[in-house]
Amino acid sequence: MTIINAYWTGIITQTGIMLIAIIGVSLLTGFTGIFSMGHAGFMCVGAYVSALLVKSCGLPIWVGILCGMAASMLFGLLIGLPTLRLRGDYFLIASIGIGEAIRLIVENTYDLTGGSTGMMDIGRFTSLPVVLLLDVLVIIFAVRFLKSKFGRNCVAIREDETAAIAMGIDVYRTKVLVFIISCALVALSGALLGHYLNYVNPKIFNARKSSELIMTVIMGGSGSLTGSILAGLVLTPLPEFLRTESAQEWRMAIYGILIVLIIMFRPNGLMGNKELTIAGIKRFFQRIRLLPASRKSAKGKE
Amino acid sequence: MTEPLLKITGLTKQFGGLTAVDDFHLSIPKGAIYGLIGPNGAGKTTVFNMVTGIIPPTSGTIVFDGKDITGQQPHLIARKGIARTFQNIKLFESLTVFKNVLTVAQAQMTYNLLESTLHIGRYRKQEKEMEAFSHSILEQMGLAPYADMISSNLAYGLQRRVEIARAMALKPKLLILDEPAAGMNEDESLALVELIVSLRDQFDLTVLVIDHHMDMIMRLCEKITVLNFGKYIAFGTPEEIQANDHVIEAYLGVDDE
Repeated sequence: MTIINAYWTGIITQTGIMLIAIIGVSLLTGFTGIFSMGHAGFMCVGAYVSALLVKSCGLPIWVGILCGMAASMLFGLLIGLPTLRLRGDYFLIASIGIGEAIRLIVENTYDLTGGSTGMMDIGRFTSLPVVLLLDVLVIIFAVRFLKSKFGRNCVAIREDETAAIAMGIDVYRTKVLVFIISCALVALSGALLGHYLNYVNPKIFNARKSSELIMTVIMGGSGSLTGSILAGLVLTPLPEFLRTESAQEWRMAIYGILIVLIIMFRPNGLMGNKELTIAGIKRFFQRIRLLPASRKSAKGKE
Repeated sequence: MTEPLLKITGLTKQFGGLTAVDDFHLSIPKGAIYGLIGPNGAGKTTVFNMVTGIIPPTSGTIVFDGKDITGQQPHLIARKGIARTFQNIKLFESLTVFKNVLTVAQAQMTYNLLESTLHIGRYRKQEKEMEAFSHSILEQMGLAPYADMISSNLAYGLQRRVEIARAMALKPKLLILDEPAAGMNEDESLALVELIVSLRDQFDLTVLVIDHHMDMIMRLCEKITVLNFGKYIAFGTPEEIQANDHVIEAYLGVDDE
């Protein structure tokens, strides 16, 4: 019994950790329309800065995590300032390089980071209640961000950058702001993951992780926070459910098929530009209840 | 005579070897409605893009409201009071009409990220003020019934109107309209003329219009500037322009015989 419980607790905790990173990428990609394929790199910065500060300087773990976020924001600022002047596709290409560069730096500074073998015993901190609390805080932050002028500026940029700039929106500054915020959120997620596994390894934060984050957001529907969250809740634990011998290898293939299906049938993602609200759910069920009645009346008229 | 609101002198733009706009001059007094016409490819939109800062001029100066704005960043020029619409409508398509206007009106909000995250300080007051302001603009433009509709679902003429409403949310001193009557029928463009004149009267606005609808331009504008192949060829009242040989030549070609 306890084994099953521990198993489920683990899955829920890891899903909750990834949810924070997904929300970070959702703000950047789903709402502002900036595609970054390097966000696993910023998770990596968060995880390693925290791990190093806790292990070699003996700082409390929560301080380490905050420092990891700060370091990632600073790093994001340094990289964002020049690259966010690039338009769309060029930024995407730059971000692939950034993500891989961070991972390679970690792999090649063996003395400091343990290289590709990773770092052990970096301290356990992350528990299910901590993750759930942080999830709630991050969601509240994201909702309030999106309901402010900052969030609306982001959406305006995604909708039409030229119009946004001609209407007095400081496009560059808004992009830098949302980029740094997303760097902080993915770093929080990375640091929590490290202090959950009690272990960090550069391979955790490879390009595949970046593309998983982006895919989750796109499948959930760009411009929908609830869509991103739902997709995260379904897709993150998916590999756990498929954990038979061959399913692991089929995982990326299944992702691919899912993406093709979504592009074919729901090109805006599951929830593109719509939010799941309680009022909306009520309306949906009302419509379902009315459906048989309206069919009957339609038949009656015939 | 008072200082003009917009004064353009010697404005030139070269794209490689092509001179798109050559030594262009224009001054618009406060409160006037001026037109800019010319055959396709004459460089009208290029002039607009330079005034609004979207592309930097090769040479020349643009003075707005007594300040030199040549080559400044477009969002700063917009905030100084130059708002524009686009030839091919550029709305924030997946947003509602109301959100389109609110997103621009918020240029006047001054709260910071901490205030909006914790809902303290100036956040609530400014959000409420700007929501009311946005609704009042929609009301004045006759768009109130469409406030909650997704803007790309509206009819073409209404989308044009929303774009003007969005520009008005900047509280501009100068409104620049790039082919506002494109794709409109006679009635719609007549209504547009009335709308532009009433906006000018209510908001103390100055207007510069590009359009191909000669009827509308002649009815709306006090003075008209004509461009051809990037060169200024005529300036005057609608009557003068209609009688000008250079203008007729530019539009209809020269008689060879």
